[in-house]
Amino acid sequence: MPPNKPPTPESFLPLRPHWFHVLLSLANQDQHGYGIMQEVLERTGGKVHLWPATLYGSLKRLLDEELIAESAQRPSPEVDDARRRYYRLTRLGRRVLAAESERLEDLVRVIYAKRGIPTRKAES
Amino acid sequence: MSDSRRPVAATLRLYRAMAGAFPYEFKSAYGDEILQLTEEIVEPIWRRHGALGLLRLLADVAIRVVIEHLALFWHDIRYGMRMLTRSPGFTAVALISLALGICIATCADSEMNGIILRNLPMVTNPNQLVGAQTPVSYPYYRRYRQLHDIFSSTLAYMAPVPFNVSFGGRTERTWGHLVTPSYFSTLGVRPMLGRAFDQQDEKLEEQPAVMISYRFWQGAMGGDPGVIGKTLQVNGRPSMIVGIGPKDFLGASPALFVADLWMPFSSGEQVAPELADNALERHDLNMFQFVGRLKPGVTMAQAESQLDATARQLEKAYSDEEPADKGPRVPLVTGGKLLPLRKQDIPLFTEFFMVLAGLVLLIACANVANMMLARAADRRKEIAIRLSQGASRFRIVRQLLTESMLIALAAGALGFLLCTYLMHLLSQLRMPFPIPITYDLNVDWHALAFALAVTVLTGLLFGLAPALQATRVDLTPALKEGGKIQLRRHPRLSLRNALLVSQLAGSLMLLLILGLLSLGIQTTMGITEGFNPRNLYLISVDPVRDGHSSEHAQSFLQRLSERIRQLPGVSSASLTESVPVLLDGNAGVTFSTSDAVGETPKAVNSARRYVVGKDYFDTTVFRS
Repeated sequence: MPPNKPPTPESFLPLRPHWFHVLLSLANQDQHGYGIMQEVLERTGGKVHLWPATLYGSLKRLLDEELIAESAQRPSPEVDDARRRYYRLTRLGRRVLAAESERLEDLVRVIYAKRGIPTRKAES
Repeated sequence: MSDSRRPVAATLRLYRAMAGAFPYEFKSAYGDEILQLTEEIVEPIWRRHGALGLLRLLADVAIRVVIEHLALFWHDIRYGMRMLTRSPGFTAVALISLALGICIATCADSEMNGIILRNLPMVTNPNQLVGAQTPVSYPYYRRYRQLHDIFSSTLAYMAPVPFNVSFGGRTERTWGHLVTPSYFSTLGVRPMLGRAFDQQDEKLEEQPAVMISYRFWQGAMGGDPGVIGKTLQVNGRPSMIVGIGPKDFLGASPALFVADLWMPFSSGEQVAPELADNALERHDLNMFQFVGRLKPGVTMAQAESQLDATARQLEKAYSDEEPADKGPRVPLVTGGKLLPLRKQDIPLFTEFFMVLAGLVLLIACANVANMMLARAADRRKEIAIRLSQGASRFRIVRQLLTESMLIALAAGALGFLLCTYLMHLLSQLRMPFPIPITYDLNVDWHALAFALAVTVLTGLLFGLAPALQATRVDLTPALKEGGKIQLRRHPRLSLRNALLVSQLAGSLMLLLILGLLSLGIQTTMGITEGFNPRNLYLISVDPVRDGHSSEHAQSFLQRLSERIRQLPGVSSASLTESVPVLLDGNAGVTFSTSDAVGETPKAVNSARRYVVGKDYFDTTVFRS
């Protein structure tokens, strides 16, 4: 079998919404499953709820695609729960997140242009 | 536990149970974390969203379990496809042997459904219909039809009856049935156009009524919708077309006596010379097929015993001779099936086909299983690596089974296509009989279901044993680079040996059956007919059916045979009303013991009777 070529960030686009939210919540810091769930919930004002089984299903696929990896860094022992695994963005994951964000930004720009309404930036 | 916590605890219990159904690998990697997370959030969800939130939580795990299994299945399929394309030789041989096996099994099933188990087309509730195995005489039929406790309705017909039908300036011999007016109503067959026979056809009107088949209407009449009420010359007599049978309906016995034309018995002997000599009143003329529709709840056995009693009464009334044999008088057969068979004989036919088909399929399975075993031995290293990486044995077995299922499904599709083609070829086959017999052999949905079942079973059969054996592996030597992997060896009793032996045994048995069948066919082909068929030619003419008077016909036939005798190259010629071995409805003769004083004459034997010309035996060169 010929060796597989490494995937490009573009090959993941458009990114599944759940994957996007998980990657986004890992953008600034490593997180465990519960942390990702809470972060997404707060960030979206409760609109996006990553339920446990779905969340871990997404984490498994993101690990398989090497967009995230298990993090070796742990918090200080007094707040660490040994049963929890922490996840971090890989280099590929970060590039995919950037590419998807750019795609979404472009999309938003197109939408505003089509409707003839100024972007929020322009409003303010 | 307080009441408010009860739903939370119940949800958690259910959640744990459902999460237990995750695939092994997923469960061991994420099961604990999922449960831990759920335990942490279940309280807040209950407080914030109530029962709906708990339901959403359960739905999440339920859907995910299915998705994870499907993902794994899809992964197995892709992996299996890759592995199969990597060894094209193995895949091709396995595909071909299985496809052939499945094709033969499906063909046998189609043939069984097409001939033995197929219902008469267009007939209502065919399972209620029973028929007499041998023809009966009309007076007997008249008595049978009065058995209202047994039959809701009955019919009798004479078949095969040749009709000379003239249309468009030419005359064609068309085969049909002479029938009682109850023929169509008993079968529950509705005409496509016009009307079926009814009470008014009991008596002869000005013109006899005739019904034609859809096939005849399309072929000979060009599908003209205005034919109802028109006149058709049948055996030289004008007859009125009253109805057209439904599409695909070719009479009550299409496998034996195809009918394109139906006329009521009331048409009389002018139209149907078969009815001459008062045929409807003679109790010694057994030439009427009898079919009855059983009343609901009446069994075939009950009907048979009732008919038997009635027949014996009639025998006593008509003759003072004691009957020659004591067997059942009116053995019944299925009346609604394409092939009339006695109920107890059906399993014999069906099982014969099933055993043959099963045997062929088993041989194919054994062959592929053996190849799988050999291949599994080659793949021990790959399997050992996967086992050492934490894959469960079940997972590997599933993977190997998926591969065999892939082969089986592809072979199933291939075999089914092949079978469809073969059945198409077989239905084109025309038997060398004077009557156009058609065997409508199609692959029907039964056969498709059968093929699918066979395919899945086949996949399991040839995949499971090798898969189980392949995963019983000792990891250490298997993983050593270049290390030889020791298989568990039981040289005499190994699975591969057993498969090989069964394959050989099955093949040998099939060969024997085939040999016996071809011997049988050869014997039948070379059967001594009792006469010399070499250079013997048969011309069939029927002046009476063409509307000539019997005196005219007689002198014509005399002149014809004399003229033929004088032809150069003809050594002898003779007239006969029937050819040897043809079973028609002519009354036979019965030999009885001498009519001694004080003794009831006993029938000891019976024979068929043919009226022949004086040179008949010289012409046919009968051997004693």
